[in-house]
Formats: sequence, structure tokens, C-alpha cells
Amino acid sequence: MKKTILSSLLMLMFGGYVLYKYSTDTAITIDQKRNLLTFASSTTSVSSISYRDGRYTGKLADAYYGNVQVGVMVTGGKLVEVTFLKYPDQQQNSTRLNKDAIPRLNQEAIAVQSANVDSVTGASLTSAAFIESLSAALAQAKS
Amino acid sequence: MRQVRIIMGTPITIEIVDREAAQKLFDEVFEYFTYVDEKFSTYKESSEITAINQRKVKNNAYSEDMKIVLELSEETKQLTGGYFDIVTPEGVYDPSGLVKGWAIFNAAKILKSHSVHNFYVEAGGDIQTSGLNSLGEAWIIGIQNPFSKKREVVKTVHLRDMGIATSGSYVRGKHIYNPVDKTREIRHVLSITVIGPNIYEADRFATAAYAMGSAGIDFIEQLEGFEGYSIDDKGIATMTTGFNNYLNKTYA
Repeated sequence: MKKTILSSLLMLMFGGYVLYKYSTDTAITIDQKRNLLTFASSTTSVSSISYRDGRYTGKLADAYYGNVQVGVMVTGGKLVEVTFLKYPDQQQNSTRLNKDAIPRLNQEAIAVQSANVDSVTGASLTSAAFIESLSAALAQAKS
Repeated sequence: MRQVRIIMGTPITIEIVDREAAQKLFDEVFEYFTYVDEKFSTYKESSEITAINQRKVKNNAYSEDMKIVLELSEETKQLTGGYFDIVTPEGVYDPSGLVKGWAIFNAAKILKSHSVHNFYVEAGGDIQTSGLNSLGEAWIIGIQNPFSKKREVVKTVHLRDMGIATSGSYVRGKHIYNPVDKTREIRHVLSITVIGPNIYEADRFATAAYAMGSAGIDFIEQLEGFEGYSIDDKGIATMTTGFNNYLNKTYA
């Protein structure tokens, strides 16, 4: 996979990581109806975290399945962009396991749908390596 | 009311419908996750699991929760023919494939002990539902598109008092390997979602089924009380025979 720009949702998530790192008691509240996400903390508010403007590169961190490296961009003292500089490749294994052994289970082609859901299940972005690299980048940016 | 915190390196969401829930209720559950993280995180130098992996703790000095998790891991290994194994290729324990589901399950028990019945707890894409959502209907859960990093949904299910977990390659990559041949990567199936009687059960069997590759969905098919939906690298989903029951909200 090539260099990947994160979606706004992931940005918010990473904002959460940042908060987690620099504030011990942070609550993020999501107002689903207004599509609003607010950060609240008893100790630190987002606005009080200030970084020096510029671009910073985190260290290459071993994510076990490959190397992860992130870059951050700070503008006006705020973290405005997190970018994957390195992300593990999605190598496809040509070995097919027992394709013929699949019983007659129903199959369908997946399609993205616009669904109103309460929550989403999926493999999560929970790489400690990611946090490690991000933290290193932010440590440089911290004023 | 819904709250999210980042614990265990992942966003954890709790939504409670029953009443305007007291902050201390959310705090208690989030604190439980923090406790679990501090005990079981292999990334934390101070955790008990790290101390065990560094051979600094004698067997008889393990904490009660550690004994429970190790016993459950061993039981799951037996139930899955070795496809669930917390021993890594490096020969150390990594119980993260079991701990998250177990922690969510226990978090749900905490809420129930406070007479909260309509809620869900989600950690890193694994979810325990209980009762009904704010509309008085079964909880609507989307299955994430494994081809996208965006929160795109390719299927929705309706759940009441069930757990749902997804194991996949795209984010954690080789983190999940074939335990029978630890050098071999699993690549064909991108994600497998498992619905079970609770999140602990769904999570551990999703992890094992994913390690089985394309045979994983067959494994779920033959498990009583579980349904599954796997998505391969060609964008084809394969579902167990009872999966369709969760597509209809009146059924749930």
C-alpha cells in the first residue's frame, strides 16, 4: 500500500490518541444527531495543547507485521494532518486454502451501503507501533 | 448517552440508553478497561504479562485474572484445534486475541450489575449489545468494508443481547498468523465477522476462524449458536446458513 492520507474520521481517532497521550482523563463525546464530536477533559482541553508549526516525522516503528511511520503537520499550533509515510504492504498470498472444501454457503459480492447504524464492527486500527511513531512525531512538535 | 475514550490503544465506546446515566457509571467501566490494559498489555513494561514474559513471575504468583485468562486461552486453543494460540512465534504470551472480548464481556456485566439493560460496549470494533437502542429496536451494527480505511459499511445486522466481533488482516496484518505453521501468513480472507451469544465467545472464535483462512467460515458454520460473514480479497462475502436471520430487525 502506498502513502495513505487518512480520512477525517481517522483524524478524529488520532486526535484521540493525542489526547490519550497528553491528557490522562479525557472524555470524547459523540452527538450522533448533530454529527458532533467533542473532546472534554477534566485536566486538559484540546486547545491548551500547543505545538510548533511545521512537519514532523515519527520514528520507524516495528508493527510486527511490518514498519509503520507517520508524519504530522502542525499549523497554527494545531495538529492538522496525520499521514502514513510507511504502512505494511498488503501482500497477497497466492496459496489458496482448500477452496473446494467450502460447502454450499451463500455468497455475495459486497457493496458499500449508506446505512444508519448504531456501531460498526471491523478490524481496528490498534497498532501500538502507530502510537509510538505518532508520539515521537508529536514530541518533536511540542513547544 | 454515548462516551468514547482511548484505552488499550483503541477507542472504546459505551452507549447507555436506559436513563441519563451517571458519569461515575461510565467512569467505572472505563476504569475497568484501564485496569485490564495495565495488567495484560504486552506493550507496557509495567504490566503483569510483560513480567511473566520476562520470566520475572513464578507460576504460583500469577494474579487471579491472569490465571483466568490463561485458562480461557488454553481452553480456546483446544476448542479450535490449535488455531487460537496466545503463544507467539517468539515464544511469549500475547493474550490480546482473547483479552479484549473478555474485557468487553466483563464491562457489560458491570453495567448489568447497576441495573442497566439497554446499552452497547464497543472496543476496537468488537461489540457487546444488550437490550434495545434509543429507538426501542434491536441494535443496528454495520460490518466495516475491509477494503477501505474509512468507516464504510457493507452489511448491517440487527442484534439484541448478542456479541459481534471481526477479525481481519488489514489493520493488524501479520499480527494474526497461522499457529499450526507460525511462519505462514494468512492472506486470502480479509475479514471474518462472527455473531455469538456474547462478545467473549464471538471474539475468540472470530480470531481462530480468521487464522483458518477460507476454512474459517466452515468452522463457524458448524458452531452451534454462532453465525459468520467472511469477506475475501476479491470482495466476495461468504455467510453461514443462519446469518440471514440477523438481517431483519423484527427477528432480533
